[in-house]
Amino acid sequence: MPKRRYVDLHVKLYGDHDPPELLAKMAKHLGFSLIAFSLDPTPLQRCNEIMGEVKKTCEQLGLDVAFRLDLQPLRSGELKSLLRKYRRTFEVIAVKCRNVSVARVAARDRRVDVTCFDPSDVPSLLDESQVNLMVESGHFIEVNLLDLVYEQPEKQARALWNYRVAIEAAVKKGVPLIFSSGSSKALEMRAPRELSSVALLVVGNERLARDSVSINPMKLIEVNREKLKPTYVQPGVKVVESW
Amino acid sequence: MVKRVRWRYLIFHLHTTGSPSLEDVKKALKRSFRCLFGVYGLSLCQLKVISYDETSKLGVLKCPHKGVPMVRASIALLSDIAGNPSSIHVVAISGTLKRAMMRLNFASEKLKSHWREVEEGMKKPSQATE
Repeated sequence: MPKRRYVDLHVKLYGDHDPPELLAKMAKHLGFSLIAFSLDPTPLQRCNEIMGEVKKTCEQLGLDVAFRLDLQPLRSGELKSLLRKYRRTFEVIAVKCRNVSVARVAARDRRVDVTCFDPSDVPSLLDESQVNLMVESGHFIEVNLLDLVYEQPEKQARALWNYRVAIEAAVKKGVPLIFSSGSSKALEMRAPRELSSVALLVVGNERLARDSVSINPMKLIEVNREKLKPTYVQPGVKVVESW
Repeated sequence: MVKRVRWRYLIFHLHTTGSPSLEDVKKALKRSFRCLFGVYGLSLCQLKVISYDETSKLGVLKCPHKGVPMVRASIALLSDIAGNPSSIHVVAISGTLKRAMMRLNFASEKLKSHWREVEEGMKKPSQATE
């Protein structure tokens, strides 16, 4: 059986964060094969500069790296314009849904790969129709460990309950789960097995929990890398030879 | 006949900016476990810190084999030890104490080569992008 390759799909490179080199070294130490650095919408030229620098650092460490864009739009129009601008630059596009209209548009749009929710919003936003739309468009749902690390046990319990109720139903319907750290500092990063143990508290199935930090995110990255190649036309169709 | 408990020994590495004592580590581990699984969970999973080296920040934690996922989850949700931001990384798991100690020595040798620069980096202030 081939060795599992672990992925942390959400390491933030915006806000108050540690240098990317330190984050990459930490990821390598913890046993990840691939990490996805997330950026927020900045001018494309600046994004390309950051991506170039980070890629060079990670290549030296022998760590595979991907880039993702975190979008937190308040209106569906804003989401569509951001997608038009950034889709071809990033391997993964994640949308944090804050209201129903954005959540529905994100679930319907095939340019969005990952949808995530605030723990307090999960029960209201991730309902049956949202799940059905996500299944149709092949979306992934993401849970960040950082959303569960609270000082007060009451808040932690509430977040765990909300996630368990909503995500168990979504996973049963066939929405793949991705569990990532959501960290921006080296000390917030956790090892893949630790992440999967927390995922086990949410999904209640050991295999699904393990897949959420290895097979699911890896599959997403591989498919999207293929899509970004110039030979890609549409699912199942690619340019083999041109003359 | 009393059923024999199968123990597991978790070799852990503490990532922190401070230098906590053995007592601090024990307290933090139990607090995190009790916070997540409660007193009943703690009774099912007899946690015991067998050894902890303050210089290398490596240690061995003993728990029943059925409790390993619970221990890992509580470790993942631990965010500070004695007021310092910290995290714990389970380096390896062993079924015997002898083997755990061997792995502990091996891990401490391996960490010498690359861990110092990561630790220095963690102590520096983080950067903020506009």
